Amino acid sequence: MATTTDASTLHGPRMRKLCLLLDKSLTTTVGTLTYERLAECFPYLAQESPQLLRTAQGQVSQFMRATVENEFQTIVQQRHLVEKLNQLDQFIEKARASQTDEGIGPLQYSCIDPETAVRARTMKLKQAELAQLKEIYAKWATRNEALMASIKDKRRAMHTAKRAVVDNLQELQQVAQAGQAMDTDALAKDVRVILLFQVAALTSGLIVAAWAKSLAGDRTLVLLPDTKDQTVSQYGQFIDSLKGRGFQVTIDAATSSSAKVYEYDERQYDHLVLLVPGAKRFASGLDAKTLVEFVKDGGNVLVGAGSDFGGAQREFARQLGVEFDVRGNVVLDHFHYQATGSATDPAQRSQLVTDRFAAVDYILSDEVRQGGPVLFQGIGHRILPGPQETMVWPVLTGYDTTYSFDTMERRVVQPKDAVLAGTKLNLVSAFQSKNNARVALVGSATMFSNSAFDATVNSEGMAAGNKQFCHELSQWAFHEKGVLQVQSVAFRKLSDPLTANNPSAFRIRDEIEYRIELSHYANDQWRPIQLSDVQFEAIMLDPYIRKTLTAVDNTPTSTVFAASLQLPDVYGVFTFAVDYRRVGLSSVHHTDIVSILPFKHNEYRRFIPAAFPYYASSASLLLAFIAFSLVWLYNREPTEKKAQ
Amino acid sequence: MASSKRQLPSSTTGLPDLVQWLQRSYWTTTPQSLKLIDAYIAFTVVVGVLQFVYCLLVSSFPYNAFLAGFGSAVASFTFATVLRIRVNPKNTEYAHLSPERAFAEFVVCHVVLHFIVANYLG
Repeated sequence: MATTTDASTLHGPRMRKLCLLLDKSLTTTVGTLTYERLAECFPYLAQESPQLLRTAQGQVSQFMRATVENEFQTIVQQRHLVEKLNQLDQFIEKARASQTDEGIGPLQYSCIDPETAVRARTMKLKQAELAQLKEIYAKWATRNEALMASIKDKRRAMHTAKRAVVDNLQELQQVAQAGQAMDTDALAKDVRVILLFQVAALTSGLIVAAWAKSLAGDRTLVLLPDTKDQTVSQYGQFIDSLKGRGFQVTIDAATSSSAKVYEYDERQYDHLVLLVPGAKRFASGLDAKTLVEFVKDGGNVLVGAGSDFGGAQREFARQLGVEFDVRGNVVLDHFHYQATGSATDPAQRSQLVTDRFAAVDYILSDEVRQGGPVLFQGIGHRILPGPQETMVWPVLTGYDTTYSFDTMERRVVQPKDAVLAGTKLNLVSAFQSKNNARVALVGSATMFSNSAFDATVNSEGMAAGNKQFCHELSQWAFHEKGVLQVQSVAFRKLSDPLTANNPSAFRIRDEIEYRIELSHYANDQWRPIQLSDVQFEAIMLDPYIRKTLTAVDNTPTSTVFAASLQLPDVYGVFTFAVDYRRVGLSSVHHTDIVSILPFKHNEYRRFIPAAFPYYASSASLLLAFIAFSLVWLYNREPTEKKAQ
Repeated sequence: MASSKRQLPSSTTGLPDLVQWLQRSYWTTTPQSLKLIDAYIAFTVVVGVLQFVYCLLVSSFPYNAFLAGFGSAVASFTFATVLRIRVNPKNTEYAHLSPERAFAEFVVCHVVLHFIVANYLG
């Protein structure tokens, strides 16, 4: 209680301020009641007794002041103003103290302008704004995508341009060589030869650097489990063979992220050799999708699998229409094996000795197919039924006695997977996409190892054929052989030798000749190729004509296939096509759009035998008219003669 | 005139008699110029019918040739018929127009017709 009385008696700063304010305002208010104003109000009294008025004024002022002060005091006491104001003072003091104690600065008031506050409360407005922003975002996103696409296209165009430049350089080199061979007696010729020689010297360096034997480029990435010398030397002979064929080989580990297949959306390698069967994924982000993209982009891949094959590579193979056996299974054959350990253990009979090469002339030469058997230790696969069935070709298949063995359960794989047995079990397959990119799927990465290259087949007592097999398979996969190309196409009307070749239009039933010149790339050069089943088609929705072309001419680098034929009696826009797809050869699809026109009205025969009766009757009527006219004119009536 | 006023036989014995009478009447009473016209008309009819039969049996191809040949026959028939009507002395309706004029018109029509036919034929 004492404290409260203390507080009530002691005026705090706010109370003092209040008292001062009251005093000041009271003085001002009372001060307005001056004598002059009073005199104006009571002029008569002011004239009669100004002294009296003055006294009255003083009394009124004093009374007013006293009354207001009393009233104020009452209010203060009634409402406990002194205590409350003191309390307020204390609170503020406390707050200030705590602020300084905790080191918190004066409160920061966020400066939210009224507009924002209103907007925050109006959800609808906000939502509308959000939608608008989203729309703007979508617009920009699509624009961005379009720009990205155009960038991609331009890159591709640049790539082809680069190819063309390299081609031109090669041509230049040939010209230069021709120039060198020329007679050098004349001074002018001398000068030209020197110039050409310089050009050749300039370009040849470039060509040697940029031109491998492969038609698809020379940048090769070989992925191994690791880049230890031991691992690399394990595949040393194969890698050296690649290098010897002019490839720029980059070797990297599956666990390394340094060698990227795609950088800035640009293909960095032309060929990919995956000898990491066990890798589930690649550190460089190479996954099945990227691999498929790589093939779509024209890159070639050689995949070496093994019994621990899995992950991205397995998925990639599946995308190509090839299903590898379950992880952990191995291919066994008790009749064709090379013992590696104790021969009684089935799992030890997985080193297959096989020469069951498929008839794929353009992939494997006779030398390989009739040479020694190859060693194979790994996993089998099968070709899935589906649209890709015609794009995958078995290269090496199992014997009737070959089957798949589950090493985990130590049992033969159950009949539900019976496809993975016998000759349906594929050991090596070759895939060629529609853009002629090639993928070789080998069930055994160890086929490429030095030990397999150097091995001897005990039963036959001869060297294993692995070296030559792998050499030719990689040659095929990397476009060093089995590449077919159209050099030229010519078609013309037979009856009119003066007409230009490849006219855009013929007339129905024209006799024409179609010629196509094909070259086959093998052993580093373009050669002629003997084919008996190249067919020409004249198509308007359906083929109206399909005719087998015969080889009529051979040049040093190509073969000319030709056929004479009569165009159909149907007019319209036709496509002259040669669509040639054969196992192991790159597909050829050449088309020309040609119009076949009907006869013009003046190209028909004017008179035809069928209408002869009509011509005859017309003529007879004309003659009859003339005859009748003559007879009628000279006619005399016999009756008149009688009358005379 | 007496011959033209010849009466039908009083006792018509049948159709053969009637035809015989008609024939005799035609040969004896029709003027020779009209007979000539009749011969010409008969020829156009024969030619027209033959063409039509050929068209039905074989083909109307080429149609333009058929049109020319058959049209020529039909038109010739029509012109000849008109000429016959106009030069027939018994036909008083055209008495004020001379036979020479009729013949001239007949010739002009034919010339035009055969130009058209020649154009259609090939």
